[in-house]
Amino acid sequence: MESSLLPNIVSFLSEVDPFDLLHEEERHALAASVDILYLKQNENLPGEHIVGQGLYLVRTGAIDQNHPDGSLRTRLGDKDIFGFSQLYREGECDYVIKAIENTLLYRIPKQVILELMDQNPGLRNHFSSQESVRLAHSSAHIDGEEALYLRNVRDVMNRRVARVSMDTSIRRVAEVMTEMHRSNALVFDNKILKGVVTDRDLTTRVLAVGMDPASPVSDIMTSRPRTVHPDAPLMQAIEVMMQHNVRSLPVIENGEAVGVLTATSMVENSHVQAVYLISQIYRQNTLQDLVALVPQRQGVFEALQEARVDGRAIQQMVTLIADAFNKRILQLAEDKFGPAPIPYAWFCAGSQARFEMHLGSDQDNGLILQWEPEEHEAEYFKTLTEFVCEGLDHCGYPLCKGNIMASNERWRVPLALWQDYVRQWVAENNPQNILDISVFLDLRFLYGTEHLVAALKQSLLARVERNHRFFAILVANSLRVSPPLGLFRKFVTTRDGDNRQVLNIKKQAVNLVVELARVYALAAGSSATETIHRLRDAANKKVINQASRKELQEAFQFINMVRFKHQNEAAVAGGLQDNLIAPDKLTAFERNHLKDAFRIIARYQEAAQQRFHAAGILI
Amino acid sequence: MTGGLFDRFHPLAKQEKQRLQALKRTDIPDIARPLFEHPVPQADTPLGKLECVVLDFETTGLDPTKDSILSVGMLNLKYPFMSLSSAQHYYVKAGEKIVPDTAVINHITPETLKGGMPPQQLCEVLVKALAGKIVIAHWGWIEKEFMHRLLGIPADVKVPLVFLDTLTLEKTMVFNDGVIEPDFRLAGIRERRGLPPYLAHNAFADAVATGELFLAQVTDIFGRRTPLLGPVVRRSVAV
Repeated sequence: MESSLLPNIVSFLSEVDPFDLLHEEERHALAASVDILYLKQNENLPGEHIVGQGLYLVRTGAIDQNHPDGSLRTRLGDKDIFGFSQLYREGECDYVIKAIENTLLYRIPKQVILELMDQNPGLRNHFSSQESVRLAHSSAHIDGEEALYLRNVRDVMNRRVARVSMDTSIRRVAEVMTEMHRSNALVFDNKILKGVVTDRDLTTRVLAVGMDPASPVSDIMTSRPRTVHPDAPLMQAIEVMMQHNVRSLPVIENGEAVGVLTATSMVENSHVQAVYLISQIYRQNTLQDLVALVPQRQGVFEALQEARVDGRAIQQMVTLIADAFNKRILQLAEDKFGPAPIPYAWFCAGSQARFEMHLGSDQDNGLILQWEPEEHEAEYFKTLTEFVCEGLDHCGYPLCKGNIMASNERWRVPLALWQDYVRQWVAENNPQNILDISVFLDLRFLYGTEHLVAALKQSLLARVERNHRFFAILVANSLRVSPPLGLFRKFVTTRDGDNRQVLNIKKQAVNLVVELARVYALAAGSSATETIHRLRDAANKKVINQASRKELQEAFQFINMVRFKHQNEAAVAGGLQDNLIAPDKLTAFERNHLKDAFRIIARYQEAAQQRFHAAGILI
Repeated sequence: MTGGLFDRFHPLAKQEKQRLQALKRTDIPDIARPLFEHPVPQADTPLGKLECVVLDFETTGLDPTKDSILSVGMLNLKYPFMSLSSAQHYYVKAGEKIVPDTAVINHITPETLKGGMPPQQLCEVLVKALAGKIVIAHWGWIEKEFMHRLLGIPADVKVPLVFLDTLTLEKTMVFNDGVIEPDFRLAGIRERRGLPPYLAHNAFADAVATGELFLAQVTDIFGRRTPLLGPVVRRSVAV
């Protein structure tokens, strides 16, 4: 059999995760082993064709995989795979396969797939029956720091070079460096690089020793400087700088100085860029200047994405930047309107409190006053909060649609009143109260008098603790949305059979884990606000076991990874950064792994429902 | 389906009668004889019980007396599965010169064919692969006529194989669809049915494509009923 005659099937297989991992020859052999069959719409695939038979691939069409009770397990489309879980089994099939469109299927015989797995660890991991193991292998995380060092000098160097000649006076060199905002200058003799001079040289070799600034720069420059090629790995350049104790490296390509690499430029251009941006934020003195920094947020986000920094770290960076904007605007407000007449605490709620912000996040915040304000004091806080919330809006943190902001007088009250709110929320659980409390269950101090926030959190936890009824309601509320197990092609089918055109990855996936973690954390008496920390605390207090923690964490990270990729692509294309993903925009890889993640979530939702007797309350 | 009257006039019954008559003749070449030795299956045989072979020839032209077979693609189909592991593909040493035009279509060059199989050997391969099997082809006239010629079967004796024809099948199915001048080329039919596009004009790829189409057609014709040979044959001979 000439393998070149299977081009269609081979090229199809090369697009299917994980067969894209195979060598070309292996793929040809695989293609040559395929059995082909066809299901008409509404036709079932008999279980005896599945159990112990092989692995199925959907070539074209769509099928439903239903539980024996008829409920939907998952929905599969082009390039989706099923049958692996039945490979080692005998007897009845665990699920029913029914075509919902005319469907062409490929079947890879059991023997063939087993042999391939034998030879190929990547495939073995992929088909590991544990969803979380599959997810863990899905994202080959490159650590942020490592990613930075894997970059080339060219990516990071500063292209603006201050050039002077040997006989330029030291004073003139200092002027050029100041004008060009450079910390160094390259010294040339005609076109030949002769030396480097840095701001440190100006301090140590001129000022400290009282040298005449009219002297030529050649007197103080470092001669015959080390240089680096733009294609050199950054790590190598750093080593050179460390070894020779230099702060600037001229970058030379074909005898031309094309840039300079400095310690600062490495900071500016790496994911430490976020740190740099934060330091910039605190240096701005007007709202306008802050607004001018906003585009850099996008830059930071893109850089982190490109460096494949993991989703959680990205969220943290994005949140830290938001915190900085928020705090700086508060400082500017206090400069503008004078110091606060009574102690207050500004806190953030929702995703910001959880360190789970992304570029599209709006603001959620509130203010706690130490005691009841006088009228003019109340006026001060009204002015202050309006300035801050609007300022945040200008800086790319849109006003909260639910009006959960300190500028709303309801959320700008003394501690005693906040504590009254809490009592009401827990005692009278009407839908609005549930909504409110789920926002304020995620609470983080940001600015002002910290103990006010701690006190509010404390009363929240105390009220909620051992209140089974409240837990049941909270859980029931969080279970209203279930993950879209039928995610495929144009439709996202929820368990209740609802067809949607798009996946709302926040509402239908991210939030579900956030809510589960919140419930677990409350049950564990943890005041943590980050989802990952909540899972950790819940596991440490044995509310959930470590394996559950791991599974949920993997699912959460993968979902967020898909979400960030989507938002980054939208941002790069200049589009709206929403949470709505058209399923056909997902790669087969993402779709398959999202399904794994959704199955994990669905399982824990079910467990939570049983555990907190949520079903009983709903009726 | 099993009524005597029905069976007697069924094309399969007629073919069985012809086969038995041909067996008595002495002018059937020895090489082709095994094809005549397997009884033609009954009309009420479930497709799932029959061994089928999807067959495709690439030829230099449409005239079996002048043109020759360039390549052959075959694979086994046992409803509802078609197995690529059973696939066979051969180039044939051409008796005549290759027309450059067909080389363009088939991507089969004289160089490819130098290493091909002599026609005599192809006879053996075909007879071995097809004896006792049902043949599935798209516009099977080509395969039937070229094989007739290749095997040297007397002009008044038919090739004793049951041919199922995906082109004719399709015509019986779209008749009422209101399609004006539908495209009955394999690729056209597949496109209408939402089957994936494939690389055409390669005997092996065409055979796979034909087999997939056949699976889809059978599912369409029978729905939830068990597919039987008889009805497919009837539709295959009706034009």
